[in-house]
Amino acid sequence: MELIAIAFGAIFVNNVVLQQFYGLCPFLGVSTKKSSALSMGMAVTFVITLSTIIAFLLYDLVLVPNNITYLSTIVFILVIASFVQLVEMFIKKFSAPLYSALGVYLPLITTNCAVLGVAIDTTVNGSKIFGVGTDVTLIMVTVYALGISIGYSLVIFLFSAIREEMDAYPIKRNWQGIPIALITAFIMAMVFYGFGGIV
Amino acid sequence: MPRREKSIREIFSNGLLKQNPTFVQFLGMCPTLAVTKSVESALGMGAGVIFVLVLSNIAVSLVRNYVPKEVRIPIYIVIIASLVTVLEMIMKAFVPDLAASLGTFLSLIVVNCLILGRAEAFASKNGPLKSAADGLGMALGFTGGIVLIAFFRELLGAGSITIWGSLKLDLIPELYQVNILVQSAGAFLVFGILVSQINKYRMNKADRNEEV
Amino acid sequence: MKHITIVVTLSIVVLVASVMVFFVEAWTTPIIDDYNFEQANLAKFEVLPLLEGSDSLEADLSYDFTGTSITEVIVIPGKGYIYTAEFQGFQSIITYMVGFDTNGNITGYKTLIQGDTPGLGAEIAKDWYKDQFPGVSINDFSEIDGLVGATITFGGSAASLSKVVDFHNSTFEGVVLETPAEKLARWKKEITIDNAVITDVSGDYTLSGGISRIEFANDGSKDVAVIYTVDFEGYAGIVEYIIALDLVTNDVIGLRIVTNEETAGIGSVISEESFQTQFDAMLQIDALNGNIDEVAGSSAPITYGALKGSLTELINFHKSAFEGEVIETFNEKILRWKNEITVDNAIITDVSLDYTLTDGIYKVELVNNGSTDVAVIYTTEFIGYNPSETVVYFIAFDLVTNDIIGFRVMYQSETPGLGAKIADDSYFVQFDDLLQADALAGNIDDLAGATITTGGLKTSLVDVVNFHKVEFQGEVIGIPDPVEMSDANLLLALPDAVTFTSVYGDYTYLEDILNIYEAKNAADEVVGYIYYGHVKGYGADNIEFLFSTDKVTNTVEIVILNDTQSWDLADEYANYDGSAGLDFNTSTWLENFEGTTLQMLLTTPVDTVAGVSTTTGAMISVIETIAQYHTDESIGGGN
Repeated sequence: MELIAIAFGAIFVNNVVLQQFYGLCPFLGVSTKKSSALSMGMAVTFVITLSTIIAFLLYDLVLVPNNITYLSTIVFILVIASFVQLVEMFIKKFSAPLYSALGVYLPLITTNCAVLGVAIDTTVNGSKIFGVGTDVTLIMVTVYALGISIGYSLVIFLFSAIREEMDAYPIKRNWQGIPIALITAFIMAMVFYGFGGIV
Repeated sequence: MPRREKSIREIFSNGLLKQNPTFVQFLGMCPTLAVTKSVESALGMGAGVIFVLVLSNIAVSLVRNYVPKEVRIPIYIVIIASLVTVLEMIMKAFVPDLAASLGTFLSLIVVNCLILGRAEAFASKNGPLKSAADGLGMALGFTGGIVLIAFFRELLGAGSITIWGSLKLDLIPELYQVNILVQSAGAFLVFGILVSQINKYRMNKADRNEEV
Repeated sequence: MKHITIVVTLSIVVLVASVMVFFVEAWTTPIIDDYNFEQANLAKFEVLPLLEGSDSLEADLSYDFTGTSITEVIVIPGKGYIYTAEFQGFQSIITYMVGFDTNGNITGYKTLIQGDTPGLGAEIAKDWYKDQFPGVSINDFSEIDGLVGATITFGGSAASLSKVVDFHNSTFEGVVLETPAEKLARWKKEITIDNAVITDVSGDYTLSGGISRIEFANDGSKDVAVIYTVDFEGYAGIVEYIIALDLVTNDVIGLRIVTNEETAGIGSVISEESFQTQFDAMLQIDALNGNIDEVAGSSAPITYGALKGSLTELINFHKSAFEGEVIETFNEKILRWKNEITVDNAIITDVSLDYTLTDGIYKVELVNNGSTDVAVIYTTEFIGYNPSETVVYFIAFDLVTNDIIGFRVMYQSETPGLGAKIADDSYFVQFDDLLQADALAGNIDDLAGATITTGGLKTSLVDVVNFHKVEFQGEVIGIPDPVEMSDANLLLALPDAVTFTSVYGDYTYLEDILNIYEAKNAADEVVGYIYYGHVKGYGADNIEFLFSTDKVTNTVEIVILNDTQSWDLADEYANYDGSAGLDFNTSTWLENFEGTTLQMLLTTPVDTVAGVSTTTGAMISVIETIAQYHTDESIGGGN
């Protein structure tokens, strides 16, 4: 039950893009086509989930016992960068179709702040997400990271679908591109407020 | 024809206006939207970015000739992450309330594309003085951008302008505040409208230049 | 070579970065820790702003907090004291923290936990309240304003704080607090004379009326006053007071409330000095009659009433013990009263055995003036507000005019100050000359705030008057005449019938039934019976209805003739089908009584409708009564 609440909250209520503003650059940059949005979503899901698990384990087993949590930011970004590099090499070698689908997006993910943001939020700022005094477990963190990724993929996919449709309509010159995308995101964020009432 | 070397002043103003990171390059959009609920947090975030960007540009510029090409990005990241960690600790120590209101976004300066972007695009090719000027210009341009957004969001959404702590002007009574603007969704709206208006201005100016 | 360069460069960068981070960490950590500590102890910093992060906030456990409401004290040498204490609010235990500096001033007050009524008691946690405290002297915080309407919570706060101050003064400021015994001794001198020698003489008297101790105050040569220690039950608990009476004038010369557990801000006001000073020189007669001034703006009838009752008893005790006055016994008083309300030297004869006593009347006595019986006295009891004790009174009727000539209450345990007022002389007076008709109509003083008691009395009076009418005025309270109903209406209830004959007189009287008709067809065969009945619903007037049983089809029918029922509330409830409109007489609910059989009505109860349960409940009850009556009386064979 608690896990369902965490997942629901992560996907809809605290949507990573619309409420927390993580990963906006790729959100606005990549989401012009449904196909690329889908690929980006898959790549992000993969990286966020695994790197969050790694970050959580590192934090719990290395940083906290040695009282060096202030190094979290440095350690996490290095882990994420190396991890993305590793994944890229791995996919390139073993799965050509997967590489052609995700390859281009992987390097972009290093600077996607959603990855580092979720890693920090689940560890250093864990009480903010799971409630003060909660004993945060690996399964909770995994569910949260997965929920965040699904929320990210969902929104970026919906958003790209809207933007594809929008191409068919004349838009004033100064509103084209980023401005109208931001207005669309505004309306989507308002829609997502509705989910807040469910929990 | 070899390109004329830009003066330090040109480099500085380039980031401030012509290549404004917020409104022209759309770099570092996550904090742009997340910390613009009040002018105070926008100023705080701006100060943090100024600190990190100027120092990281200088540091990258200093080591640029000794860094092997293959590992330059990891090295830049280490430098930036260390600076951010230092910034984080200093802010938590001296301006704890501001640090709390910036939250995770303070750490996320590490992945602000603006920082790594300037390291790669400018500091790795220029001397420390110019790199510092570039960093300062870009960071000030970024700060100006987010303060402008925060100005509209806080003024219209919360009816006030908070410069620092209790240095706060209450300007609009509660009845006339548009509350949605200080909520997450409002950030998209205000940013979108501002960009469209700046685009309009720039496009009109470009049109006039063509006509001449 | 290349790889070595990479490794070396990376290592150097990481090393330099680590050293930088390490130094900054060493520099900032203490500051961050300080801040976090301050955050965690925000309330303590708020109530004692002088605090610094380096101060030890260990609670000092070596003190005994018994009798205070303190749960914790933290002593910060040279800076001040932080107390955590709690008290009972209106709805919750309220925990607060208060800081004192070393100069005896309050530095801050903060409510930590409270669950009182929002807008009233809960206001105690608001800034306007706590902002009054900083800078106020701990020995005089009387100017701190509470909230009118939430006296229990705010009064409790002030009382709790003064206990904290007492503890503080005696523990840390070297102020020697008076022990309760010392205070009592001082008071006894205050209300009598300085240097009085107090001697306990309780053993010489039989103590009664809540008196627990009797003492003499001696001025060195003679006893000048007597001090009684008395307790009584107030609203929330036992109140104990001491009162001094002058041995020459026998007037009151002083009173002090010793223990008072009455509601803070309400009954507790009797402990206020302004209240007690009126006893400094009070005539005995005023104390006897309860002529005391209440504290302005207070409303505590129960506490005041109980105090007045206690004073009356005390003065009577004093009169018999010290003024040689013989206080009559209870039986003497009753006899005196019976003479007072009838004739002097009456010869009273108990004739209870001659009558069948009902309705709480348990004694009937005839009053003879020596030649003829002139009056009758009924002793009667009824239940007033207090459900466990009856009120017993007697009332006299003149045997010529049959009007009431007197009334006295013998026993009552009603609420002091409210229902108990029916035992006051001032209440008796109205019965000295009361017409019988007025007693029947309940034209007596309602006693504001005690209508349950007086309502019980009114009902009882009606019973007594009716009893009197039957037994002494030869009146037969018989069966009321039947009320006629038109054939047109009767046909609505039994359309197959042709003639209707009233058979009301043939059966036992039942209050709900106004008439009973036997219905016959053209062949003069009985086809059924119709009851014309009435019942009080929620509306102002009775519901009048016809209820028929059809002997041919063996079914029943109901027709509502008139009603003023408010049926509007019913449509809010899903279980009522309001499709037939909101009029009671067209409601589909009535179909419960149509087309079914009497047996069904008696075996399967009909449900009331939420929202209109008074009306539907009354209706169900009357129909079931009639159905039962029909069966019991075996009317037309009983079905």
